[in-house]
Amino acid sequence: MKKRILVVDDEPAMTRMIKLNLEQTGRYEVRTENLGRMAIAAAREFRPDLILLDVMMPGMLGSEIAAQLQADPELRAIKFVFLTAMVTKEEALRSSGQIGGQAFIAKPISADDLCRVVEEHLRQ
Amino acid sequence: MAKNPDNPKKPVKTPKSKAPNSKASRPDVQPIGPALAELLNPAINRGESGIGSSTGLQPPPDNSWDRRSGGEAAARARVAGPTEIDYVAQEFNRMLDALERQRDERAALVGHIEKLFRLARDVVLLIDPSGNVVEANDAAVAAYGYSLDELRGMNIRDLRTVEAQAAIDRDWQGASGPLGVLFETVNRRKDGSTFPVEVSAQTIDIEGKPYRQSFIRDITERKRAEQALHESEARFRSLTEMSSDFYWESDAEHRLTQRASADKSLSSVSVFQQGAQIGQRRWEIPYLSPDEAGWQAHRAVLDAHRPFRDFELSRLGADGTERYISISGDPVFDESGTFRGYRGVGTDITARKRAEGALQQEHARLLESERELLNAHESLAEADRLESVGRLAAGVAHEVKNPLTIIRLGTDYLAKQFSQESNQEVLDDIRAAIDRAEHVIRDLLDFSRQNPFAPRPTNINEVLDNAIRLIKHEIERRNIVIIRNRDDPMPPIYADPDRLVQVFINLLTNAAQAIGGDGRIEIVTRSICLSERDLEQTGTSTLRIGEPVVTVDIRDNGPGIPAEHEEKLFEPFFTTKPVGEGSGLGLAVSRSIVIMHRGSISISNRPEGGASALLMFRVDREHLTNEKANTGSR
Repeated sequence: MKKRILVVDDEPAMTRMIKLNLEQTGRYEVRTENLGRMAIAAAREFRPDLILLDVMMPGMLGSEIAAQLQADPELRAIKFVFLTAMVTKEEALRSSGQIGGQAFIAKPISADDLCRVVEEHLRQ
Repeated sequence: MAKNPDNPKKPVKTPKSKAPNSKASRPDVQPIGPALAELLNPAINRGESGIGSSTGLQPPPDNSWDRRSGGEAAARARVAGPTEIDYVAQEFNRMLDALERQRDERAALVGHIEKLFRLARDVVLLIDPSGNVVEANDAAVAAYGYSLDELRGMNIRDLRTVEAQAAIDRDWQGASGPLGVLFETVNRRKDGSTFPVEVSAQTIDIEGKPYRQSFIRDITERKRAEQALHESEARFRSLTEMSSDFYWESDAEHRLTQRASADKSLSSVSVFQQGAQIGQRRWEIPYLSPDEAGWQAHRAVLDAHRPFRDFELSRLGADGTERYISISGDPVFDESGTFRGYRGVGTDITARKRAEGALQQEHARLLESERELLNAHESLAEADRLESVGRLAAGVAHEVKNPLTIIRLGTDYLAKQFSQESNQEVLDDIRAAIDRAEHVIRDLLDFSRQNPFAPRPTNINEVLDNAIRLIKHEIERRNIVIIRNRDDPMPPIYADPDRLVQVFINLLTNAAQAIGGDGRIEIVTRSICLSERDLEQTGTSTLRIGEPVVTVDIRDNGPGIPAEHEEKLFEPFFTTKPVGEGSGLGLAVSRSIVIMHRGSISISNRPEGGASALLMFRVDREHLTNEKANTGSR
């Protein structure tokens, strides 16, 4: 059974490219959401195994969405990984994928790296 | 010319013919033989008076000489008349007169001597061979308080104090010599009081017996004056010693004639390898200062016999250092006003000179500190400027990253969709371009870290450990060995470790990329006091010689830096790396971080090949203070 992945990013082109690449592997079912405030509703409805969450979004920050997911008993189990453009090369080197205890993917990322990171988190 | 009161125009006649004695003698005197008279007194015949008239060669008017000699007229030859017999008689009388006068004079002299003896201010004693006083004068009575009768018969021993009695035989030794003896002793008055005396004594022979005569002078006043002089001299010497190290005198030719040092400063005078010698002029001894003009000015003062103050000169000290003395002098003139030379004092002012020198150095150092501050200010301003640029770049970078991600993911997707070879090449070119853009953006973000600068005591070795761990993958991939060479313990530096790690990642990455593969990087960390040579190497103005610093030397065995690149190394966006490997910001960022820490960074080629990046940081001030405190209390 394919794993479900929800991609939340305010940029439609971004969510589309992520969806295309992940689905190209044939292992994932991907749904995208471009409005931060709709992310919780989408999660409740889609019940993903993993959410890829953009940090900087107009209206609602990725961290706020994450906090709501954590607070919701039904959604608490869903894993999430941040997507961020704010990470420097050195931070990326140092953090080994974790900032403030949270997993993250530093933009830009190649398709291969994206798939690898998603697979790693799903396996945990 | 004197005027005649009756006739002012008529000059006064000299009283040639009107002299009173000639008037009295001439009419009644029979002329004696003209030849003899002429021979005896030519003035008589010429009718002149003058001195001849008082010599008594003219016969007296009453034919008697008695009136002038006074008394004993019976013994005198009567002058019968103006014959040659008369003349002989006159001559006899004259000789008799002379004898009488001589006897009178002698009697007067004896009286005078007796009077002298009596009234002499000095005590005069005549002492018989057994030491008893035979005769004494008034001064003796006054000096000793004994009456003349008491004194006569006293032994001179009894006139001395008990203490002085013992020396009596020694004092009198040699009294029989032609010069007698001169000694000082202490005498005692009748009332028991004592007084110092100077005795001049001689043995005289009286009727074959050795009498002694003593002239005794009370020298209380002289002793007091001597004592006062002595005290005054001591006072002056003490003053001179306090204010100076030596006293000197020179002659009219400015040659040293005397030089006396106070004991305490003997050493300071002999500190010269070649000091002033008697007979030498000041400028004839090897000197270090003043210069020729200085000496000329000094000699001009000396030749003008003017006083001088604080003339400073220096000579080579015995210990090889320059030693200074300050000399003051006043000209000395004798009673006739003739210049005799100089006398003055000198002081070793080396300590003062050195203190002055130290002060000047301190002043120079202050100026240097001020310059450093300005430099530091400029560095900070530069760091600030770089940060502003960085922040701006960061905003841009963030905005660029999202589209880059989209392009990247799109390209990757398409690459999998189109398996055609020609398409793949195009897609690879796109991906390489994205990588380049990504590198630049990440470097820009590194350059502009949003974290505030947070310095704290930091161990440089730990920062290096961290940096090495972070680029371990890159290093291992290239098969490069890292060799550590560190001082332990390492004093902390005041730094932001998060920022420094960035510097070392940059430098180590640069080194690894320069080597390419199969090489070694040696990292040497040292705790040193900055030497002049070190400072030259860094070319920094923020660090000072003698300052405790921590140095990091990152040496690679790569190809080194081409000469034409050395100048541009730290310029932003200067890179020699292949497209996609570097943004050209690494060293610019590193430098701005080092400057922020008020450290220094320099990159150079090593003589043995490869490049070396040398960094220096101040040791944490607080650590130094504590260290000092600990050392002090130990």
